Amino acid sequence: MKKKELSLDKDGKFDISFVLNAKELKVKISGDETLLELIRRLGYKGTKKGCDTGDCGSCTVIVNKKATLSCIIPAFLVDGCEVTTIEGIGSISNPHPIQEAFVEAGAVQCGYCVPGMIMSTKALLDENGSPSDEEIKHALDGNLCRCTGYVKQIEAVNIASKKIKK
Amino acid sequence: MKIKKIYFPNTVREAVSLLGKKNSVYIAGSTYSFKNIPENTEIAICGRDLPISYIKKDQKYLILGAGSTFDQIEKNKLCSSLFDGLLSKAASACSSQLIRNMATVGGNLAHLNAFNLFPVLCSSLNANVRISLKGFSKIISWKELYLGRYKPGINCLITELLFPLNLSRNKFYFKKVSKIKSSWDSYITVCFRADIYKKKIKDLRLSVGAVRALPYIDEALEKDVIGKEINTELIKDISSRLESGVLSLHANSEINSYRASLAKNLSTDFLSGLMED
Repeated sequence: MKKKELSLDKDGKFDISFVLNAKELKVKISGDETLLELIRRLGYKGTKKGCDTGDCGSCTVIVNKKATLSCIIPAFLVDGCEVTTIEGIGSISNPHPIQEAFVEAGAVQCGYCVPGMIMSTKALLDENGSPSDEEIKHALDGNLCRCTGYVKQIEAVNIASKKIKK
Repeated sequence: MKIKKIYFPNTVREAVSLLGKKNSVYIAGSTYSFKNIPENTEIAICGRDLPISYIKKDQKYLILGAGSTFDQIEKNKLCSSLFDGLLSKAASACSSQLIRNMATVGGNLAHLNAFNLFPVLCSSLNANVRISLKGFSKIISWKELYLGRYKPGINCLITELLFPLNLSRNKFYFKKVSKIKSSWDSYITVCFRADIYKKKIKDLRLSVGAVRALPYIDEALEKDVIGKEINTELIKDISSRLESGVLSLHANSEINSYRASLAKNLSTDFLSGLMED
């Protein structure tokens, strides 16, 4: 449940609670901590730190169904919210269709941007199951890739869309 | 920074009562504030739970709640139909999907910056803004936000943007152009509006954004052409005057001369299209 105010505890931390990858969590945070710092501190290191200024999209997670830049939002803003990271959608042994599609399309080279790309794709496909190429480009326009380019990802999203529909 | 207290007010009244506390900061969509918070910040007031994320219409206005995100505006049916879909088109041209998901119109107006989209839209569409202060709310012209009296997030809260619906006879034009898509340095936003009746200009607004903090408009030019018949010569004159005006903002800047020529070409494109209508 969302709180109306948060105060420092005796250790100089704030208590927040939120749902991370379908798991309810209560954690202590500092006031200057970003969501990215928090989720990586909690061990979810699939979410990457790239630019740290909201420009590259490597840190993309889903907050309340929207793809969100975790590097620029304060951790306290997710109190009472639902957050999903790359670990929350699939694993090596049980990958999500989007993850499979990225591999199949060869949309992964160094892989650094891929968790962010996949989270943006997840948010897109949850909202629009059959996006056009233009809609895919538009939805992924905040996720920068410096080695694969931007063609294979579009192919991957199209493959994922078909896989999810099956 | 040493934040000691965080508030999530869920009424505007409550939010306003919290503003102005020493070392406090108001956070709207969080694309700007958190990374720019002054070191001495002790109190964060978050607009996340305020009921101001709506888009609606009444008899006089299209009303955007200040907490509406660019993504909401882009996808909203009212925004994509009124004013020839100008607001949706503009919202869709803003930054990236990730920013559009987070950035709010209130935040875009509150932090004046040449690259912000809403000042140029407000200037073109004669928008008003509803602000809430301690104990009351009032409607002001969007420009009054920058005259020093009202300080959003400090002594007032922007709660609504109001776009008058009495522009139905107008034609609208929005473009964001840059040399390369990701370039912050070279881009320009233009938002034009014209009411042409029986080939004569009844009203004209040529607003050019990203050239300085507030959008550039030439009120004298807009006044001069009222009542004149639209033709190639007039279009040439208007576009050249707009170009000169933009050029004069930063005389020796190469990027600015590029922007000025864009302003000329885009206004020619807009006005020529009207002539064909």
